[in-house]
Amino acid sequence: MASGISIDFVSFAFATIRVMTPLLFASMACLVYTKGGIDSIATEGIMLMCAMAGAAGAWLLGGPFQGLLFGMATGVALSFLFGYATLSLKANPVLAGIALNILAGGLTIFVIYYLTGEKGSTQSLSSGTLPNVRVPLLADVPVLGRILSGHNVLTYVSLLTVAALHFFLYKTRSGLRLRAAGENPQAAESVGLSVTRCKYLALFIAGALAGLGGAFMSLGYVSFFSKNMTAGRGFIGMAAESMGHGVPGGVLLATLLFSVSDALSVQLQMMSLPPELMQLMPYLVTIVAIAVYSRHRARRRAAGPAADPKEVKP
Amino acid sequence: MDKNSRIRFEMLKTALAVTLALGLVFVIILLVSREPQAAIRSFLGGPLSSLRRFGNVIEAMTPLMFTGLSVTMLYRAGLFNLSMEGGFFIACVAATASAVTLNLPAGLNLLVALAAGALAGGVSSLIPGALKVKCHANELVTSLMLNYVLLYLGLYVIVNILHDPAMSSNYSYAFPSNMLFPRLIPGTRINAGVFVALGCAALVYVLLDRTSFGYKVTMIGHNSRLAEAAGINVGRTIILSQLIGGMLAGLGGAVEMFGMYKRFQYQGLPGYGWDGVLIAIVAQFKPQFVPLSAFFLAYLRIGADIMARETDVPSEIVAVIQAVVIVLISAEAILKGYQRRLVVRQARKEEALNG
Repeated sequence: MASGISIDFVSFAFATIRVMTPLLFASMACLVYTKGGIDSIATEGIMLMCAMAGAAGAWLLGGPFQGLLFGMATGVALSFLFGYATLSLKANPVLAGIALNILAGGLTIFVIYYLTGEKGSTQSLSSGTLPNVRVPLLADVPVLGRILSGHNVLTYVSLLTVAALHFFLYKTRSGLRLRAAGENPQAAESVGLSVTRCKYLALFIAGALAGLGGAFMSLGYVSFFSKNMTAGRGFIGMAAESMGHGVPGGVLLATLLFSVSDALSVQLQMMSLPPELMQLMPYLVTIVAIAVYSRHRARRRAAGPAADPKEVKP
Repeated sequence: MDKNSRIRFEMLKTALAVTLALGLVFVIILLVSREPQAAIRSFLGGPLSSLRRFGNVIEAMTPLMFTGLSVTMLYRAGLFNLSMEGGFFIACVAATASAVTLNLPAGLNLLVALAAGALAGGVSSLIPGALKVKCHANELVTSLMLNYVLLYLGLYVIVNILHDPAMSSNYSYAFPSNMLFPRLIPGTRINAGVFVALGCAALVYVLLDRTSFGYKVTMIGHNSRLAEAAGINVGRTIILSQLIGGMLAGLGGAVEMFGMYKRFQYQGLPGYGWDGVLIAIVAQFKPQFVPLSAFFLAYLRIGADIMARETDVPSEIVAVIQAVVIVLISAEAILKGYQRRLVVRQARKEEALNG
């Protein structure tokens, strides 16, 4: 069983990119929330609802692309609902986020029960999947082509999103305003910015991103919705955001780290290592990484603000 | 606002939140069900229709009281430590491990297993608390990650060490039957666990409202810098509060195992920790109201289960009530005008009294 023991690098790298897609959407959504000064704990529930909306939308509206749009619209709507609860009703954001996650866990099952008559999944509905893309030229490069080409179209969208967000946040006026509203709302207000409008822009973008991530789960990763299928990916997005120093490139690296350990855990399970212990590794790594990073940051801050020009928040 | 009118205000707000949530759910039932009247009748009246069903409410209340108390304690110090979810689960595993491996005499076996559960839960919540105090790590994120670590760790122990080969599912060996909590009322599964939970509510009340530790914790929750300036050892108090909070969830897991089960059967996180958030909020983070609040959620759950069995409405509808109630009670802007009027009225009354 020599083939079972050595890790096939190409399929491992391919799997890493595949499992990274929903995580990357999640962590980018969390990044936008955090930049806009909004708590991101609701990302998990929003993604779950969007996964359901994606599959249901594809079935009702007659195609996976329609489902994707429906999923994104659901994400934006829920994000706005969260914004209304926290900004207008002044609900505690963490508690409101937990509420949204609880709601998503129950409501998705409630809805698919009425669509399919069962509570487990929407496998009986034919909702289809978004296409995989053979990247021209790249596909012909040896090894690299087999790793980077042939992924779902949303995988490429997720990677482009990182670059687009970097450009948006740091090179555009709206991005600057969004960050200002998140970092210091009083100061932003005092120079005439509408903080509420900036926050709703963040809610819009993050909701759409969470929608993409959720819809990918049911329209790309697999071809149906199953209950609780996001399985903590929104929470991982939060962790990746906090590990990635809150900049798109850093968050991408943190997400990649998580994806590698996730894909590795699948590979190692095939080598008959205990699957449960392999599954807990990425989460353990995250806790350790956040602890180390936070300690480092606290020390730097204690050394004085001059030592760290990037830190603006107290 | 004085104490009485504040309590009246909070109660009014809670009642409003519950009424609105129930109203919303009735509208949903009217829209989707083919038999809405029957559905609402079994939802609201079902738990009272037989002794066995009312017994189900009391049984369901027990773990909810423990996690409600746990969240109350964890949150009082101002931390969003959500490890009670994983802590409850790993405590069930630890209690199971202790019960099926130690071979102690029945009473002692139960006590040791309960202690093992409490310890496992306590350590679980201690980790995010300690990482917060020592490393300034965001306890919300670390505790959410920790829940998955605890889930897979627990499943590993069950599958590889405690699994009973006679069972096809991943169930543990059976608990020694002489150590289980005795059933108290024939025809129901009500057991002594509910009194352990009520006792814990009383203890947490005394601890939080009648000791200097409780005062310190509450002060840190309100303003940790002020507490530090007042000479309180903030780090140690936070860590202790997180340990106790986790122990409550852990003890709850162990009590649930030996009150309701004959062997460990969970295949995933049971969700009682998240339920604890609702219970603590409805109870205004006051331990004395946790039993009532747990009764409320248990009643809804059992009512929804009965409705799902008897009609075409699935029980997951309860999630809508939970979400709406959490948001509305925590929403500061709701009833703000009424709150202001209360304050003004109070001030006028005092002015009149003082001449």
